[in-house]
Amino acid sequence: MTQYVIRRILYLFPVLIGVSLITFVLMRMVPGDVAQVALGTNATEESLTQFREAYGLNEPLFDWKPPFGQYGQWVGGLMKGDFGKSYYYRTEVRDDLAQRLPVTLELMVLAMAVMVVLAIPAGIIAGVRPNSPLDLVMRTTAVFGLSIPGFWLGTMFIMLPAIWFNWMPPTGHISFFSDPLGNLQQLALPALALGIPGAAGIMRLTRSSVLEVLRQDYVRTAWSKGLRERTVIMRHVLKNGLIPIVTIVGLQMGALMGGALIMERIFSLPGIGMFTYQSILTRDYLGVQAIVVLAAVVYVFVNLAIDVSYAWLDPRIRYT
Amino acid sequence: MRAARPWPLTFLARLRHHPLGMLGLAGVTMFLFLAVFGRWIAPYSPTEQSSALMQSPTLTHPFGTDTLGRDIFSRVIRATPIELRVGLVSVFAGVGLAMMLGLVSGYLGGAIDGMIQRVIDAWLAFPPLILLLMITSVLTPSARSLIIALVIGTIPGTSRIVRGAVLAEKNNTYIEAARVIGASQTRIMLRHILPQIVAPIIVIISIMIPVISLLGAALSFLGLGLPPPQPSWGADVSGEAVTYFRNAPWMAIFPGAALSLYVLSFNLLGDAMRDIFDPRLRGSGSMR
Repeated sequence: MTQYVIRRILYLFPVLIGVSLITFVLMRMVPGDVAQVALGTNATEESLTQFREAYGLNEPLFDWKPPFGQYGQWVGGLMKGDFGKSYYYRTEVRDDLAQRLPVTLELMVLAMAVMVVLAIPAGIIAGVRPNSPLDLVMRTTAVFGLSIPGFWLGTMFIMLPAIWFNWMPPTGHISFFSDPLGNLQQLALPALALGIPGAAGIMRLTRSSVLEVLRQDYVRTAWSKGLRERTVIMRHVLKNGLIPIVTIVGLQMGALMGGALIMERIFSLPGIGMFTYQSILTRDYLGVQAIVVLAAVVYVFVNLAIDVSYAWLDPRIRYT
Repeated sequence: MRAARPWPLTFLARLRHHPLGMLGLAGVTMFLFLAVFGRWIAPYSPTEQSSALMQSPTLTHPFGTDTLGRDIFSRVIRATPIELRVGLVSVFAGVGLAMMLGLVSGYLGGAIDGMIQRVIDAWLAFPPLILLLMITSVLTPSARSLIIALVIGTIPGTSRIVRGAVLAEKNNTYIEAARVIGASQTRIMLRHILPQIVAPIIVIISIMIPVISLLGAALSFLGLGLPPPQPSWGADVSGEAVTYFRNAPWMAIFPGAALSLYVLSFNLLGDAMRDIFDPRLRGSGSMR
């Protein structure tokens, strides 16, 4: 097991090299000059040259000799925990991330909570009584949930309360620790809008997973020993049915990050999604590179966590 | 065994037992109809400006007008062909390329498989929306750029699924038999393995059309998809529609509702297709 985990962590390196190279090259293909975007159109030729010099933009992208071009310098910085400096805001990318990460993380955690709380009970109820009226209602709701664009749902969530009750969620970031109520007021709607489409997918999966497990021999055994329905469902069906659900929740991390970006834009939340979006628009390479590398690390670890959790959920699964 | 009738007929015959699937088919047919005949149905040009700014829905403007006095009903209808084209072309091209990649990677195995899969690992490690935003920001905004981005977004996950299906298929004795009689690698891939993985591929297409349509609309919403003044269900929900929502909520409501209906139709039809083409999943709904 330990060996397996170590091997999987080593796996991180090819993925990181691939991801960072793609981002590095792609962002530098963006038309437009970074110095021009950062300094505005009135900048003199002299100040542009100075800017490029200061940020090392004149150096080759790749080089075999030290300092190995812009890419090599950036990777070298990463090793020391230095993400570089934003061209546009002239701030340390690391500080930007540290400031914005909590907002996005909280939004994603709340959205996950919405998904799990809505989807898993609904999926179990629907799966235990397939084709009952309740099942049909839930399945229909789920298809609707899957079909509503997140950005539109979010827009409606900000629009309708404003029109009907003249209420809008507060803008700017409110920390949970200084004002929990204000923080939740701010994040409840975006978390719902982000969680609902995901919940629809997870509900359908939970339902089909429960249906599948209900057919297994060990479930029949559990019934025939006279266990209560509650025990059979919670102990035998749910635990075994959880494997595909865990997989999909993990795989949705990337999609969730994209969804968070959209919600941050709609609800003006200062998270890393907005930061990424602005960095892409302002050709702020280093910001985008930092986010993508971070996302790739999260992706690899989440997938590892999923695979490890399989072994816990189903002791028959072993890794060597 | 497979019925001798061509599959579209078998499919339609079975679809009759799926009321929701029929509803989906009706919706998809309606959008196809609007795409072809929309120019004669829409009362105004989608880009024609008028002095009737931000008017609420009336008989002359069923969905109201926007900040430039354009008729939202006409814009919603006239967005249909481009949305359909972007969605369908992206999915078919993306799934086609993913199919070839998955086939080659899964069937040949070894070092080639290893290399392709490492590339796909990196590809999948990107949050999809962020990768697509990066790509569309490199290209000039147009329907073609959006399609390129969406194709790139479709390939990695799909090719993994195809590869899995190929791996499950390639150790069968009939493949060995084909090899023994001297069939070439290409022939085995195309004539023996490909027909066996048609069912999962149809299922993938039915899942990807709604997913990719939503992703494309999200890109347009963020201003990096279909460029204005092109009517687009995604882009028309953003910008002025949000700025002036207190005065004219219909600007954001109707394009988004049209998109929801469109995606819903494809989802309903897709669920029915999944039931019909993949009996193992019957009645189970899909996983995303």
